[in-house]
Amino acid sequence: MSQINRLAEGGLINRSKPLNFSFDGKTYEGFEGDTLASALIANGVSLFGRSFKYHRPRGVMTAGSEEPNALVELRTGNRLEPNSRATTVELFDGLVANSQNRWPSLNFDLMSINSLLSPFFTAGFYYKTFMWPASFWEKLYEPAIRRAAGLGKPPEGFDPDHYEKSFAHCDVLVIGAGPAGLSAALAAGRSGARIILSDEGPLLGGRLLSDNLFINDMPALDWVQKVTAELENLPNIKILRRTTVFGVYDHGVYGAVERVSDHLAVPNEFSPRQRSYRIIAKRAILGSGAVERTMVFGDNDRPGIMLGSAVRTYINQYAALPGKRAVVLISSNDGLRTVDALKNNGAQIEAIIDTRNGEMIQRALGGKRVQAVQTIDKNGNIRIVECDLVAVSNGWNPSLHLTCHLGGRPVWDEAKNAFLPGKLPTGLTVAGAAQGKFTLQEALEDGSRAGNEAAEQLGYQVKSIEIPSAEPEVFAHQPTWRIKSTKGKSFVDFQHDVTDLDIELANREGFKSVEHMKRYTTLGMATDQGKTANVAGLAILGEVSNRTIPEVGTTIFRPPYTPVSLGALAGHHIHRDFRPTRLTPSHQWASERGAVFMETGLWMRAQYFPEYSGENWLDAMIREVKGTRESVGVCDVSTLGKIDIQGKDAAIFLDRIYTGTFSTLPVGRVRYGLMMREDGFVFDDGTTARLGEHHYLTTTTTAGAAKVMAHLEFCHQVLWPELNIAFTSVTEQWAQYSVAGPNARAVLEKIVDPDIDISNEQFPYMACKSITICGKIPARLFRISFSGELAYEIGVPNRYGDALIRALMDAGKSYGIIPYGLEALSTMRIEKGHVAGGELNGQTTPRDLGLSKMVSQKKDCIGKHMSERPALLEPERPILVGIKVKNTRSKLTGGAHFLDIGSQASLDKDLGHLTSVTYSPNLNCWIGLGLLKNGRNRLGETIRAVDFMRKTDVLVEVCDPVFLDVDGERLRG
Amino acid sequence: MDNLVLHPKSALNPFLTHARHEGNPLETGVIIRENRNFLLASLTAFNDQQKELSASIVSAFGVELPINCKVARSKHINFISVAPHQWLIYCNGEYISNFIPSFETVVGPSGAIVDLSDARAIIQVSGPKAIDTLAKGISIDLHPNTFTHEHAASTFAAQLGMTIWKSEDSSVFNISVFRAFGSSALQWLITSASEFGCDVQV
Repeated sequence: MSQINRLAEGGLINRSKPLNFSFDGKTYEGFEGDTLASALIANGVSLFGRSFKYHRPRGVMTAGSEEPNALVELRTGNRLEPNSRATTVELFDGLVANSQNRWPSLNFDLMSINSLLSPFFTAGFYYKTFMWPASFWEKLYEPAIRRAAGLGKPPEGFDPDHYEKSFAHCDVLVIGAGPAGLSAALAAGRSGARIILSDEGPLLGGRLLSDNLFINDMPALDWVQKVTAELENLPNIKILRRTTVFGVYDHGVYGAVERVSDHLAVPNEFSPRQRSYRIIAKRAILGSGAVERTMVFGDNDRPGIMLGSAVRTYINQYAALPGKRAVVLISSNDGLRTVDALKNNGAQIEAIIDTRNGEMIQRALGGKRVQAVQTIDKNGNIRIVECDLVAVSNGWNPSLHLTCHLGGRPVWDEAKNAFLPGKLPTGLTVAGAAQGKFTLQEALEDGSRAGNEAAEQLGYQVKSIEIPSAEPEVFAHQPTWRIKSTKGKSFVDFQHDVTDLDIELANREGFKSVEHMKRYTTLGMATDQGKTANVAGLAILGEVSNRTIPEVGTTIFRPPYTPVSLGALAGHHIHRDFRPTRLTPSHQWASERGAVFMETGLWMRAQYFPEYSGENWLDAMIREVKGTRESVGVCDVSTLGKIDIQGKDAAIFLDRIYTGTFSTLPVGRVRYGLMMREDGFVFDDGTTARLGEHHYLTTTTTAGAAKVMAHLEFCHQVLWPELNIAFTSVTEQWAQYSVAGPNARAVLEKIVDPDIDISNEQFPYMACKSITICGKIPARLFRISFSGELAYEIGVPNRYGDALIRALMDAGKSYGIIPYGLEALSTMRIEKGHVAGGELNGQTTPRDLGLSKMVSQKKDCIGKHMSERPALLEPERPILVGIKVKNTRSKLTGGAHFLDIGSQASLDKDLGHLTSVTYSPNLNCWIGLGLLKNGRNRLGETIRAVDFMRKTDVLVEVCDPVFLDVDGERLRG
Repeated sequence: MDNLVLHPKSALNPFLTHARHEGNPLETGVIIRENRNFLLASLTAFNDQQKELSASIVSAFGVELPINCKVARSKHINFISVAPHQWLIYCNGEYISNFIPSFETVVGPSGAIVDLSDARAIIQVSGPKAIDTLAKGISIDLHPNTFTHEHAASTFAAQLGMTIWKSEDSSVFNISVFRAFGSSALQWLITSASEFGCDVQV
């Protein structure tokens, strides 16, 4: 029979919308409004899973996010979600859930043999048991333990859903929409303050949804509906349902996750699965309620043993009867509500065990479902009471977790027998049961007060609110932490299988500090953070060490309050959107030509331009280099950093920054510059053009653009604030192309306007000029060369970048112009001996790079003196050399270390390393640049380049780093 | 070569070639468009010339240069404070080549003016769900009571640096991002607006 435990009427479920679902392959029916737990209970299912360590059968203990037992694998395939709490999973049609941590099945789990071996599996058994032989740990012990323990398995493929992140701002954040939260939101909301009201569940109301209470002599649900309607109509209130505020951070920042589509089989096409929020709130009110406590007795984990409040929730909210023959175990009158709920819905009360009368449950009987309890009274009389449900009420723990996230430590309140919030995060107040005000009337009053206070503090005019009246309630109780049992395990932390004996053992072994006990036993360290376990654990530690709970103290909580998926934290930033992409001005054109791109920082740059399908990078590079050196090539160099520097002190500033002198640079000329850090090592390099008397344009390496800009700002703002200068990054303003090769000038002459003379005489090497091209389009032309060829860099406002590359290709067609990518660019600069990233590695001085002459002796600059420290001038220090293979069939690999022939490969014999390598189409062999000890004195010698990573050992010749056009005739031509 | 003509392309041209609707087909909560006709420049006051620069601007445009992330407007020109003694100058309209020289005349030796009209993409976001969309990346509070047409902010969203300010009638958010990041910024906005339905206009 379907839904055998479904009550004929009542509940907040929609009986007109039946939903089919399956658990462990068996299909069931539930209703809209059910949770997976309530639907399974309605269908008579009591066994939900197996425990973490002992594989004991477990059912449902709670009806909320504090659930330690009923963890299931939800959904299938790449949407599979392990460790989902059945108590919070909203039912949807087609839901598929499976139990986890069992083999071969939930009913017959061979791993439950662990329970028989439990004497070996006490607290700390990992540390004591698997000591010898040590070599077994990695190969045997750890893998075996990991297989035997643990919870669900994650999916193996990519999650098909998308997640997102958002910020939210408000005056008052109200956390929890129970009676206190609703009252607070109403009070603050009516004042006009901007409110965010969040609740974990889909419905507002908190305990009012599950306890048949009355407000103003009306059913409390009517009040909830009325308040909800008013809140929804206030424009200044945003209600976030299905949203857990999971963390409190500095300066009023709260982390939250909204389960936007978790209640659907598949998210709507344009909705995220989940959305994480960073909520910035001026004030926050925590109305998170309280979690009921269980008791520790023998085999208290048998399925069918639940919290009394959970029993009431299943009955009143979900119309699902968790059992027909109930024992109610209480330590207060509050627990008697459960008796009424059960009686009124057809359950038989087999016994009410009130620990205040001296009677206690010693042990539960049964296996996969509780079948009876064994009780003992104050006279020692033992009785067995048959039952299929045990409802336990042992007082309440305020849900104060968020108050601890910034270091607040809960304080024990003797009168309420509970920890209450201690020092609160700035801007946070606590209302209602979370503050130990457990009665409904207290919650309503406290919420209103907190809402009014928060709004008033923010300058809003609060309106007087008539606080509704609720029925009187009594929450006074005498908690019973544990009943010692000689048989069966008495669980304290159900999710981590921590028993009272584990805590006793920890105490005996000296772990008396609550922090030590926690870590030794793992009490409270599971995904539920011990919401149902911690206080009982502290009480037992106190009992066995003759201390009170305040003397024992308490651990505190840290974010997240409940587990948060990584997807929600990552948001859009996965795959291609992991980080933004920066596209060059010629990107579209290069794509059309089939360029192969590579990431250089955030930039996507053309690596090479295959001429035919399948042409590899090496063949393409050789073709591009030859084409450029023999005629003309063009390359997008817009990615180089460009910094506009203006001001009457610009020249002075550049002289202090660079090793060379820029104050003497004539207007219309360009000079290469080296920049050092304060420690004397080279920081970056590039050219600087003087555009006017007080106007320079400095270029940086692509990778160094941002750090150079920051360096310049630092130097100005901190070191020399008196200088009148201004910097502006213009990297993106200008699309810039290098046109290189013997026909470069001929190509450009077709582009520049007729009145522009770029002949060698009028526009020599290292000249620069603002010009116009293609009919008065403004441009900047620089006669500079990275390739070693006659070369120019031409820049146009970026809007013309795409058009210019096409125009250059058109203009150069008759010369066979070819585009070249990073591979060819790199090859040509190595052939020319120009240093770049491999050499500017943060460990080289100008001297190391053979650039000592670039350090002016007529002035000071950053890093100059430090670069002249004796250790940096030692002859043995590695210095830049060229490297060429002896056998032209040999290949070089970057990073290979230099060794003398016959030397052993050891650190003390190490002579340096290869910093850049390439195949040289002009020398027809592999060449490279490297840093070699005493390198300039070893030109012509043969040494070895040894690469253990790639297993190569190559004979190489040490040579001058300039392989091509040593006299620079080409670039001056 | 007489026949070589350079046709300008906007920053988002390759990605915004035609108007389209993205995301939820039943609603249009957000409208995204690229402003393809604007002038933008950076203005920086030299250390000892701040008063002179302010006076020059007041004299020429009748407005005080704003401070503390504010916007001052003179007819079609927006002066946007982006850092101490540093502003963006923004105005709608076709690019005119004497834009910078004319400002240089006003500014004189008291500051540096640099053309950034090609360095940034300006994306305009409007519609009833514009704030909800932008909140999916921008950490500042864009509520109309907090962020008015007089406010501006240099901030980050989706790992992108940007400057944001509103149109004078507050109906449109102007977002300035580095041009080369234009496609990433557009992608972020369209994805974020997807649930609300989004008209992407050219």
